Amino acid sequence: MLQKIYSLPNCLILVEGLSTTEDQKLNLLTRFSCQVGGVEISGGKELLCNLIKGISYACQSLMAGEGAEYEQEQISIGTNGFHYQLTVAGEEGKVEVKLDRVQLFDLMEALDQLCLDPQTLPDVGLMFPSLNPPVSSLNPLVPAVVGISSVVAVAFALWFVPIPDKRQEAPAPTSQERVLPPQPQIITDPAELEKLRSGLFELIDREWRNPRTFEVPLTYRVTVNQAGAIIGYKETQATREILAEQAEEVLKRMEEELPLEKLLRQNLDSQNRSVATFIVKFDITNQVEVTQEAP
Amino acid sequence: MPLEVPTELAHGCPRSVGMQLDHLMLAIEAMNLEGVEALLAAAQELGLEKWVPHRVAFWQLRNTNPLRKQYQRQKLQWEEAKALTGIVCRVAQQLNTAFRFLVMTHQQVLEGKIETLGLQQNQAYLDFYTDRFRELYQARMKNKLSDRDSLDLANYLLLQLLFISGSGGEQRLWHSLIDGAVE
Repeated sequence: MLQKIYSLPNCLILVEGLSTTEDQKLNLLTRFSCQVGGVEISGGKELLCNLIKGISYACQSLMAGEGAEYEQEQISIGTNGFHYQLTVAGEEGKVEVKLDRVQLFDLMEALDQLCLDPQTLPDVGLMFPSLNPPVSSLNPLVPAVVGISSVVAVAFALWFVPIPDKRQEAPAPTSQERVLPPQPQIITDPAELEKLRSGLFELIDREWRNPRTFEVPLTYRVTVNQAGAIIGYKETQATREILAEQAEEVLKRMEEELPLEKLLRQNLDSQNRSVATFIVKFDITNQVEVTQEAP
Repeated sequence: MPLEVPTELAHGCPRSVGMQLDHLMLAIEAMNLEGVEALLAAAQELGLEKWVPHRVAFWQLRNTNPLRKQYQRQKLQWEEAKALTGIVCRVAQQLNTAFRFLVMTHQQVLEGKIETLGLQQNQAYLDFYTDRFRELYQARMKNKLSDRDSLDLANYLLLQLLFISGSGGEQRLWHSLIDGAVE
């Protein structure tokens, strides 16, 4: 029988097991017990692994500025005021314990030491369950942390020309609609699309000369006509979300900063027989990227 | 255990990584007047002179934080980000006891226990840290934080530093940098 102890000021983990290898590594766990916050959690390997996973998730989530909520296989973690409520439904009954931040750290650290110990359960390592939902770039801490508040925003300028929806066939004009100009055709020829794409890149790249003030990449759907002139643009959903909470003067500044509005204004009178839509990304590396819109 | 770069980020290190690392180092400086020396010494101990050969190079790496007044447009390279991660975690480990103390004190402040327990002296240490953090932040960053935001950020970084000051700290910080990455 082998025993290992991982001890921290607020947490003590005792691992008991056997070695089936010559190097005397503890590779067969018979039982573990974990004393933390005045209670004892004990069980077998399955519970230990679930505990490692849950605590790791809660700690990563906490580091990301989120709550520590977790609920999966035997383990549930919730926030209770400024404490964390850990509930473990093990083989030996249900244990509940309230931990403060330092106690949670000690529990995490004792489990990490166990995971990193090559002499104990070599098949159990650190686990990093991915945070789900992923850390939003818009959570309340982020303006302070990521600096989006100092960021940006933009032209909501699709006033004149709606970007045609690719999925809709241009409908045959009915008698009431005859007064409207005919719906433009969507360009599908790959060679022409590529020509328009590189033309659009040239156009924007040449025109975008202002110093950049935004800190996240901004993307737009930009529609051009057969001659390659910009006839409409609209920010993508992701960019809209980033910009949604910006103050008006930031939006105005953005209109001046990005060349889209300027380029659009030159084309208000052009005939648009056929059109194509591209995704334009203004990157924070000061690079412009123009790609075809995914079908 | 090597720090791995996920394939979807292979094209380059997102700017938020440089920013978070710089913020953590700023918090270390706010805690410890010798913070920069400790960080530079850690670079030597870890044999990372290739990435941080001297003080100026270190300063340049930190200026990849887009919020800095002296912001440099070039991005942090992944290898540089790994080096800084190692350095931050090494110093964080050395300061573990201090983080425990300050995080505990912050928790007592949140719970309104300071007066009851007569721990005003402890709170003075925490206030010293948060005040100094605010001063450093104002001096070096171009965006203005309100006192409230500065306090929240200082305490948030303190919590992060505690959680990366353990044995798995480097992996934990690395995952945290990548999980929350913003280009």
